[in-house]
Amino acid sequence: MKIGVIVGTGLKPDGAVRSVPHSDRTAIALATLKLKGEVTAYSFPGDNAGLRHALAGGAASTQRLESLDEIEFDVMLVGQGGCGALGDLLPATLAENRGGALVLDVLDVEPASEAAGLRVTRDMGRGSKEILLVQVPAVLSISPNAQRLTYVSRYRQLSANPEAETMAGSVGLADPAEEDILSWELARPRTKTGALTEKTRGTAADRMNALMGATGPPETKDEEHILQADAETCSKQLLRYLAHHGFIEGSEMDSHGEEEATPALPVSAQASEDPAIKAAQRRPTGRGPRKLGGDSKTSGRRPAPIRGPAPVQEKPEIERQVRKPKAVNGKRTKPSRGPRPLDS
Amino acid sequence: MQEPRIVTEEAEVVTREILGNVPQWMSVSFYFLVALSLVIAGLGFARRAARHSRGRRKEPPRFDPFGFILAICTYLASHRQLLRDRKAGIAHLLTFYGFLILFIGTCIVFLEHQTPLHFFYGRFYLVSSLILDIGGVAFLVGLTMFAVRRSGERVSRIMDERSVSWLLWLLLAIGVTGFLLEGLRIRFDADRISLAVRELRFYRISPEFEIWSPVGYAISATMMMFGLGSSELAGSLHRLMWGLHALLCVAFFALLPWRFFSHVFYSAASWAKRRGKPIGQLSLQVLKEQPPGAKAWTDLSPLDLLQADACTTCGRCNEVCPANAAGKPLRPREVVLGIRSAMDAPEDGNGQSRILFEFVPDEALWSCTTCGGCNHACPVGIDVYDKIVDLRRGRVEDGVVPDAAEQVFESSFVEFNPFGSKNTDRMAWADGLDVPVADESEKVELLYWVGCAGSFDPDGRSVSRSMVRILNHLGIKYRVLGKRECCTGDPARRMGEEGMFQELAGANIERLKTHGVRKVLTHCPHCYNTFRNEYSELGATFEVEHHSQFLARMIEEGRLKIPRRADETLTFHDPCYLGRGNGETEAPRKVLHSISTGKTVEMPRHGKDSFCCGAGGGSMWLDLKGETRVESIRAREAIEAGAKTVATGCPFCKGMLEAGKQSIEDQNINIKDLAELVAEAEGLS
Repeated sequence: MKIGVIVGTGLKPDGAVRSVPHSDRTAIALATLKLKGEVTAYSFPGDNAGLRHALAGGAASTQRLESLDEIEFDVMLVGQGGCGALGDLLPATLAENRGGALVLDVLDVEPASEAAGLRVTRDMGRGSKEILLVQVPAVLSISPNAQRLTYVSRYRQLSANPEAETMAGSVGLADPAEEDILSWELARPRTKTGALTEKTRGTAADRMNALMGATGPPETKDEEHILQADAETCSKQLLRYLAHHGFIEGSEMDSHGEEEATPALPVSAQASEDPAIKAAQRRPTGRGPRKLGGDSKTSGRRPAPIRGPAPVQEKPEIERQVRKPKAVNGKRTKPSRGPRPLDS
Repeated sequence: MQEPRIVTEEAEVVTREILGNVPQWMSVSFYFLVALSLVIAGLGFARRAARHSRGRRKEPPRFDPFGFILAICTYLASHRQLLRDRKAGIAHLLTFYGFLILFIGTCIVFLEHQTPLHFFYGRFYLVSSLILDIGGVAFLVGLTMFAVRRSGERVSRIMDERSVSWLLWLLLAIGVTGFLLEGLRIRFDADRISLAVRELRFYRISPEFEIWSPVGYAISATMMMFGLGSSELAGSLHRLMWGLHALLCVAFFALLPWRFFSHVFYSAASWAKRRGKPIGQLSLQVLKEQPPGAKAWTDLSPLDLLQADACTTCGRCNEVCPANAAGKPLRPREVVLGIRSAMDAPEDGNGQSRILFEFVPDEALWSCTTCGGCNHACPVGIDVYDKIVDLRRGRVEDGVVPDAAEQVFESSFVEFNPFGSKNTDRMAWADGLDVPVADESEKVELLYWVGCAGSFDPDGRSVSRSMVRILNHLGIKYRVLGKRECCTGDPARRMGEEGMFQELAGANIERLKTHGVRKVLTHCPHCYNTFRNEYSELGATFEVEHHSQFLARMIEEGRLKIPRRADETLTFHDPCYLGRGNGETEAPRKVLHSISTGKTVEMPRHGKDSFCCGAGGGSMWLDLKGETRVESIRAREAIEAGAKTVATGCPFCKGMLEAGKQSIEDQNINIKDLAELVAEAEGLS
C-alpha cells in the first residue's frame, strides 16, 4: 500500500517556520504506526520542518508538493499544516484527482480486515464519532482533536535529513520577539489569565488545566483570531459552516444566491503563487470552496457512515450496517452521507 | 614449608608459632584454596569490568591515578559521607576499621610465615596482638549494630536483601571463629611455651604475656574454667576451628565480586571516580556523537554502570526523596537497582541488551522532581537523578512521554516558555514599572534575567516587580531582554528533551553574546543553575549571580539600609537548585537576618539537606498521584517550625509552597520571596 502524508508547519508570508501542528504530527504517527506500507511525506516547497518531522517520525522518503496531479497513493493523510493556505481544498482536490474517498475530521485509522480497506474513526463533533469502512484510494484529513500517539523529539527532527532539494528553508527557532504566531493553530495552550495578585492553583493537574485554558475566566481578547471581514463574507462563512456540518442543505445556500464561498483563512501571498495551489483552486472538488451549480457527479465517492451519538464498538455490528462504497472501476458513486457538496 | 626458627634471645619467646598445630595438608590446602578463591574473585571482577566497559556513553577523559587513590583513602579514612547517618556511619566505621586491622594482621602473619622477614615477636607481637584484638572487637560490634538495625530496629529504608544478610552472617562468623581460634591457640600454646621456657630457662617469661590478646586470653581462661584444660582437646578443637575459620575466609574472598559483597570495591571506586560536578548540573551529552538518553543499559556510561554496581542498597536516597515521601511510585534506589538488573539480565534472542524500561517503570521516572536529594544523600556518590533524566531522555526519543510533558515541550518551542502563555505577554509583569529593555544590538553590562516564572506566573511576577523596584532604587544600570528573552531550556532538559534544551541554549547564548553581556542577575535558581553550570559547557562566558547573593552583597555594602525590619518569625526554604544544587546556603540567610528583628528559625531539613517544594524536573506541570503532595509536606514542616513567614529564593518554590499552604488546614503563614521581603523592608512595595 502506498501511503502518503502531507505535512507542514503552515508557511507564513515571510517563510518563517514554526511548529508542526498537532494534526500533522498525528497524520505522520497514524501513517507510520498504524498503516502497513512505505510512507512518503509531502510538503510545500520551503516547508522543511514538516518533512523533517515526518522523517523523524518514521517516513521512508520525502517529496516536494509540486503538482497535485502527479501524486500516486493509496492512502493520503493530510494535516492542517500540510494543507497550508489551501485548507480543505487540498485533500478534496487529491481525492478528486485520484477518484478516491475523502474523509474529513479523522481521529483514527487502521487497516480493516476487508481487502484494501481502512477502518476510519471520524469526529462528528460534540463528542460523537462514527466509524467508516473506506476502500482505497482514500484521502483522510486528520482532525486537530485526534489523540496524540507519539512524540517526535527535537533531536530526531534535527537529525532527520530530508533530500538536498528540500533543505532550502530554515528550520529551527524563530525570533521570540516576533509576535505573529500561526493564527490558525487550534491546539496551542492558552494563556493563564488573572490579575497579578492571583494565586497559583492547588495541584499540578489544576495548573495543567490552567495551562490548557480549561479553568478560570474566559480567555483574554485575542483579536488575531477573529475573522475580519464584511457582513457578506461572514454570512457566507456561516452558511458554509452550517452546510458542512449538515445543519442546512446545500440548496438553502443556493437560495442566498451565493456565487463562491470565500476561504475562511487568508491565502498567503507566497502560497497563492504556488502552481500546485493555483491548479487546485481552479479545479472543482467534492469538498470546500467550489463553484455552485456545478455537476454533482464530479463529487468524490463518499463512504457510508453509521450515525448515532454513541461510538460503535462491535466489529460485526459495523460490518452489518455499513454500506460499503461500490467498486471503483472509474465510475463515481452517489454520495450517501458526509460533508455535503454545496451544489447538491 | 619453612624451617622452624631457632629461638636465639629471650624476646623471641614472646610470639606464637604460626600454623603450629595445623597439619601440613591443611595449611597447603588453605593456601591452595586462597589462591583459587582469589582467581575466582579476579575472574568475577574482570567479567563485571567487561560489562561496565560496554557502556557506550563517553565521559570526558580523566586519568589521575594519584587523585583516584587519594580520593579513596580520604573517603575511607574520614567516613564523612557515611557518618551523615550517625548510627549506620558508626557501625560501618567500626566494621571497616576492624576489618582493615584484621586484614593487615593476617598479612603480617603471612609475611612472618612465608618470607625471610622475622619481626613478629617481643614488643611488636604484644602491641600488634592488642591492636588486632581491638580491631576484632570493633569488627564484631559494628556487625552486631548492623544486625540489630536489620532485624531488631527494622529501619524502614533498609532493603530486606538476602545477600546482605548472608554477608553479615558470614563476617560475623569469621569474627567469632577468629576469636575462638585465638582462645584455643592460647590454651594450646600455654603448655608448649611453658615447656620452651623451662628448657631455655627464661624463667621471667610466662604464657601470661598472652594477656595482650585480651579477648583470646579471656576465652582461654573461660575454657579452663569449663574444664577444657587438656592440651590435647584444645589442640583438636584448635585444628577444627582453624579449618572452619579458613574456609569462611576463603568463601569471603571467592564471593567478593558477587552481589552485595562487591560493594567493598565498587563503592570506593565509584566515589573516587565520581564526576565532581555540582549536584544541580547534568552532564552534557554531545549529540553529534550519540543520541540522547538511555534505552538499553549499554547506552549508559561505564561510570554509570559502575555506580549501579556500587549501590549498597542503604536506602538513604529513598529516605530523602520527596516523591517517595509523598507516596509516589518513585524509589531512587530501585531505579539504580533496575539498571543493575538490566545488566544482569540475559540478552534477548537477537543478542540485544534488554531495554531499561522493563526494569524501571515510566511512573517512577516521571515522578522525579530532580531535586538532587538522592545524589546528596548517597554515601558512595551515585548520581541517581542524572540516571533518571537519562532514562527520561530515552523515553522522549522513543516518543513515549506524558501529555503534559509534550505540552511543555510544545510551549517551550513555540512560545519560548513552558507555561503555555503567549510570548507577546512576556513583559506584562512590568506594567506600570520603569523597566529598561535592551535594544537589539545594545551592549549590556548587567542583564536582569526575569525567567519564565518571573514573567508569566502570578507568584513569580511579584518577585520580578520587587527586584526591579530594588534595582531602580539602587540606581543600578541594568537591562532586561523583554520579549526577546526565552526559556533557558531547564524544564525541557530535565524532562528529557535534550535536543530542545541545546537548541534553546544555543539561541540564548548567541543572543547574550550579541549583547556582550558580562553579568547575568536572576532570581530563579533554575535559570541560575543552567547559566552557571550548563551554559558554561556550551560556550557561555558570562558571570551569573542569584538575587540572594546580590541582595546580600548590597546589604553588606550598605547600599540597602533596611529601615523597616520584619517583626514576625522568619524561616528560609532553601531551593534545591540554589542550596543543594549549587552550594549557596549562606547568602539567603544573611539577607534574612538583615531584614528580621532576630526571630529566625530553621526547619528540620534545611541547607543542603533541604526538602524539595515539588516543582522541579517539570513536576510544576507534570504530576503523578501520590498519597499526599510534596508541597503540603513542606508547608506543614514550615508551620511546625513556628514560622509566620517562609522566605524563599525561587519563584517556583513560592508558587508551590503557596499551593501547599492552601492544601492544609492551618494557613496562618505567609510565603514570600527574599526580594519581596527586602522591598518591603526598604519601603519599596
